[in-house]
Amino acid sequence: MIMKFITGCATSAGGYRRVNQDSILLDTKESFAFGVVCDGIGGLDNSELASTFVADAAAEWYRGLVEWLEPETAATEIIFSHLRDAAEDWNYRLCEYIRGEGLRCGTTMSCISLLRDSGLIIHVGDSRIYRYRRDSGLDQLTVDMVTSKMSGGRMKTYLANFVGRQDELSYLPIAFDISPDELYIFGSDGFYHKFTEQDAERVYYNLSHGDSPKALCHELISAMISRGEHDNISVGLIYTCR
Amino acid sequence: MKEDRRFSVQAAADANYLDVVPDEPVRLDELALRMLQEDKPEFFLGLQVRTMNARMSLRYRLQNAVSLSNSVGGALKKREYLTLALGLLTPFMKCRDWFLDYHYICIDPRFILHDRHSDSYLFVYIPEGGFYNDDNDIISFFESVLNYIDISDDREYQIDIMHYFRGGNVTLSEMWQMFTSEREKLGTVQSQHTEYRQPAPSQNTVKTQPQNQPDPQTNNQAPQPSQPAADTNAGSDSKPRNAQKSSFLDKLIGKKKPEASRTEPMSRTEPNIQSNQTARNESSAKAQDKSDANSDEMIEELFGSKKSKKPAVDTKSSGAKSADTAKPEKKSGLFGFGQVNSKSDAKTTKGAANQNGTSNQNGAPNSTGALYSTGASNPTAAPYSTGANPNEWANQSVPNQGSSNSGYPQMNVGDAGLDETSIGDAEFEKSYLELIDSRFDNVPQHIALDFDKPFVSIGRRTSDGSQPDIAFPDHCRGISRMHARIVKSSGGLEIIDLGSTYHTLLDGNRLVPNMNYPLKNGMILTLVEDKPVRYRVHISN
Repeated sequence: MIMKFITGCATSAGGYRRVNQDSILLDTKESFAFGVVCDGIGGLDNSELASTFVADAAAEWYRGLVEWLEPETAATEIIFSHLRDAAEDWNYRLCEYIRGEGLRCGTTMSCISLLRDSGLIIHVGDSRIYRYRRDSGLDQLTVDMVTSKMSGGRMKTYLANFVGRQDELSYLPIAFDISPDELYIFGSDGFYHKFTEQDAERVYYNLSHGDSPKALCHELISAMISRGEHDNISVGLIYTCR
Repeated sequence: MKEDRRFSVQAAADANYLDVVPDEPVRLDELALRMLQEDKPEFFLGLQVRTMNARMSLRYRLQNAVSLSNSVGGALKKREYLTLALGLLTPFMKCRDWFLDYHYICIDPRFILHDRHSDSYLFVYIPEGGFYNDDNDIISFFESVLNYIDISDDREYQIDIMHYFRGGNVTLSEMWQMFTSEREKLGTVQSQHTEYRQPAPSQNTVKTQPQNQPDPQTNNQAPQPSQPAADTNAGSDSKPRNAQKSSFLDKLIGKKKPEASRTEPMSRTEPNIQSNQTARNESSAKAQDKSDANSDEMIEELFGSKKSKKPAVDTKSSGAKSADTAKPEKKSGLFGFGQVNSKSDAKTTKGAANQNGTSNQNGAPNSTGALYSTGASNPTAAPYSTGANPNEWANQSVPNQGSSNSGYPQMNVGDAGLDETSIGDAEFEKSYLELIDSRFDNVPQHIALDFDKPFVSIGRRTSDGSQPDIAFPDHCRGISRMHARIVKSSGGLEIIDLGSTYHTLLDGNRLVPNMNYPLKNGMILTLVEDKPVRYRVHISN
């Protein structure tokens, strides 16, 4: 049976911020799914430009890819190598853009690509990608690239790595196998600060019973806001089935 | 790149199936077929023969396992690596016990399944003459899998492996012995490697053929009790366990010991593959004819049915494949990388509008699969295994026929006036790419096109291990890790863009990904549309 992906995503500036520095995209073509979440770095100016830049570049790449991609027969290694090239290229172009415009900005990027029964994550920053399975629960697939420093008498957490930091993108690609009946959840830190495993379980249950993933994303965002989250909130859902 | 149309995966309610439709005329190995269906060696997938629309097909049930292309990681511990290597080698070493010929094991990584529960590998065995893999294909397969894995806890050993493969004289038996002894050195911890059952020697040496059938061959020979087949495999470390009496094999072993000369001229005791052995390739083709004849005789003896003799293997009719098996191979270097060029400006010519071919098909997963946590990847892995013979696609008409508005000249293989049946490496001896200009420094100036393999990859060499055959430095942004391929075909050389981000152009026309385009003398090949690296194609006639 061919793997299928049920997907949906949503983003919101949240209840407190005026500007949404998050960008998210998620799309599928047959047994290929591609999603990216970018969270502009709050401490730097114009970071919404950075997150939009990367998300737009990713969307452009995806559109070009699906023009010729046949997911049922595509070579996963080739496609995933193209994704790596593309991610490095987005970073390089963002750096050139930043230099050209004299800006100080950057963005996280958590990119997930699923092709048939293989997946690849390219992750930079502190957005997260989770996987929920009925038997094993919620797993965090990415590692936050943060560092802590003492500042003003408090330990503060800073982003150690992000897109736009330097011309060479430093990242760790994560490859994994996909099985049916799995739920992949990715989102910015504004999403996961208040996100719990029970939320994942509920979403998994609803998705497996045919609920709209986009609606569920909006529900999640509302839930995070109601729990007091102040940041921008972006979340994407990918449910695998045959 | 076009898919080998003989293979197709069908999804049914219960499982996925691989359907293999041989080309006419079908040259089925009845003996091997019976062995697969009745005795079912554990490392081969079950096989059904079906006939639909008057065409025979072989159907394999793809079990609930992960294909090799998706299961092999870029970084493994040494023990895991050895388990992998031995798991993959086992069928090639053991199939002779089942009177099967390892040349017919499908080495397309899409259809090699990894059963994680038993940590074993399941292969597809295609007992039909058109699916013969020559020794170079098999060695290339193993190299593509085993040579690009990061052995995370023993770098020295990894370097040894690299040196071994680069040394050129790679044999299956040597690999088997090498990996086996290395695994033994790791200690007495029981390996995860599955020990496959061996076909049990029959105690019954009575003739099993129908009584009424005369058997002139055996009249003069007493049936010889055969030795356990496992003993004949050098380096074997798996003992017969749970040996079961196999009904079909009994019939074989009860008779004279079959000549099983499918692998001639190799030693009976161990497969011995040498790369770049031209004589072996020629004699392999002859051995194939001989083995077909032996098979017919054996079947007649055993099953008592008169079958028409199979036609001798017609190496020429198998199209470009004959180039690999019948033609002597030139032992030549891969490429000639020339002097470093100086940076120069280049005019960019915009390609024609992107054209969508009617048969936009991508390659199969490569043997070492996707990219893994250490970032290592195998850029030389084929989208299709060399066993599937990329040259087969070249026998079809050149694509990009979908749009009449394409700016690209329509060309068919026949138009080129080239011999479609056999192209030897000698014809490409003086074929090369000559650098015209480049926006990047340190790119190859002269690229020889007299490669031995069916194709060569073009891409960027990166610090994470990407190593294409024609490698551009890491600073050549715009050239993808797996940018394009140049393949040999019966019509000559062809180029395929693998879906590169910044495209490949031929005479200014952007190539549609995964479609073959013939390379002709004088053409301008451009990598990277925006910052072009341009080569002039020189093809000797």
